Amino acid sequence: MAEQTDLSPWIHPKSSAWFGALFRRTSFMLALEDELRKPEDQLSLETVRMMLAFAVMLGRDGVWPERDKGVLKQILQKARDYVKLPPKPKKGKALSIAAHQAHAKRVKEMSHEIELVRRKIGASNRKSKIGAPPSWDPFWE
Amino acid sequence: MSNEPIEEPWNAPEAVDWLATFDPWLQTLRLIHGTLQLEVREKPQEIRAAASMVVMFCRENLWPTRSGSLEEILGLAARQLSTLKQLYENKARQEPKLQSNRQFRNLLKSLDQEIRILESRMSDPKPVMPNEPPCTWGEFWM
Repeated sequence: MAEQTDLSPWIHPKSSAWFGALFRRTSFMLALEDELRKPEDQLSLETVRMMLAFAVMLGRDGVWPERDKGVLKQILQKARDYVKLPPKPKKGKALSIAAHQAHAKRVKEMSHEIELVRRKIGASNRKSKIGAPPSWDPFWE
Repeated sequence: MSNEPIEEPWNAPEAVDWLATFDPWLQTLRLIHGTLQLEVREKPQEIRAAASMVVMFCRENLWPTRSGSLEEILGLAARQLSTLKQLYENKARQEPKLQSNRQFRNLLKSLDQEIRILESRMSDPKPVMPNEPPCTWGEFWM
């Protein structure tokens, strides 16, 4: 076996080609772009957070197709826009204090997820060690 | 501050509904399943890649299934990785130099860790697992 320092499951050219074919055949990236174009009233914060989670897990060389790196940036931008929005009242009812607090916690968690994606695309200057978002832990069980 | 814990992104009700109807994701899961049914000897890299998707994503709500269960997918991925590990071990018996190759040993260790993660998800009660990625997955969160 040739000396190779990275033996992750996505590093081999055949693995990388498999990921490329997977997302091409399912139009996954195109579909994410379509979702991101939806107006605010048709795209919830939770859905944007899920797309951000896809970016956290899949946004790595060998997995996320090079030609679709722009989609990662679009997800990041949309997430940054959404965390700035005030929480939406549900069914026309005023939000309780508890709902405001839950929103603040969700935004804090998303800020961690946003930072992970920023680092992946080289958009962050922070060097501190960063781990899984707290709500994802324990992730490897 | 509210004491309610924040759920993982895939367990928020709106995200659950979205994932269950986001067809490209459902197709992706079907293709992963299809790859996992291929012959390991012929498609080792593709199968390990597909199994890595199972390690990351095969969780309640994140992997909506219309038929079968998460355990079926987890079990299939674990079995295929075990077969792959056996293939590498057989290769090492034919090429003894491999056994002292640090990278090769690391690969076997990583396969073991990937298999253990998959198997632990099927166990009840769940064993205590180290909360860290398999050793070849690098700085996973960066």
